[in-house]
Amino acid sequence: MENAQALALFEEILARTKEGRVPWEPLGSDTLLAAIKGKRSLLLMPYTTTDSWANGRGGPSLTVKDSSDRELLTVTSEIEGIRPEALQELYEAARRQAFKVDEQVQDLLSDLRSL
Amino acid sequence: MQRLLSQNWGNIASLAGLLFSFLAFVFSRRASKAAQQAQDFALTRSLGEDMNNASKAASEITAYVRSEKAEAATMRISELISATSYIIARWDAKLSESSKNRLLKIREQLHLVHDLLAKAPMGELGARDKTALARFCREVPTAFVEEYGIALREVDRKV
Repeated sequence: MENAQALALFEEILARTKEGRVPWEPLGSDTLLAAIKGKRSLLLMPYTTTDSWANGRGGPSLTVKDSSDRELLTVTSEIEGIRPEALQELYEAARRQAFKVDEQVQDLLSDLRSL
Repeated sequence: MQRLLSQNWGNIASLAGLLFSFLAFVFSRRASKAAQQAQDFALTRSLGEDMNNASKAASEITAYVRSEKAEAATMRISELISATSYIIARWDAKLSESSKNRLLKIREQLHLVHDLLAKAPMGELGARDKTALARFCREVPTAFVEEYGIALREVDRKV
């Protein structure tokens, strides 16, 4: 049941992110953050755990926190039905949105054409 | 006239009673509304005080980070993380959705900086981590000051 909920949540977040409706923002150098309706926050990291040297290990992970700062659940590829590629796809889509990659590439293209 | 009064004193008394009841109802409604406004004003002012305190704490943390006093900064960050959670919970009904989203983001920035400062001595942090610290120093105190301003604006509107 818990896995089914996590899977459903992940699929919804992936679909909404692809539609550009999740307000992803960068947090630090590689973590992405989205605050949802003032009630919960989503944290998307490019790794699952960190070692004692704070180096990331494993594929991307998604953590859901409530307004009281409690971690409600963490979605990783260890959950049945969630493929590592799908998590990578979410991370990449969210990163492109957070860093406004498409807009920046368009801007760069027009700058290059005007040289 | 006297005869009319003596014959209808009961009706006149009832009518006067009705009139007084109506006036009492009107005044009690006004008093209740005024009390509600006073309570709203006090609550908004208190939200402003909480935001002001958080804003001061954020400025202190920035000063500690800039002078590389990691231990003091870490302690103050832990306090501000708790204070931010308190503000979100305490003022849930008063804060707008965008303010709550902003506070949620600030709290994650505080966690991030807390972890960075615990990771290594500040002088040994990598360029990306230093950029994250600089961003924190630039954004978090400003965000609290702006939220303080929003709370004060609500107070002004109610005066």
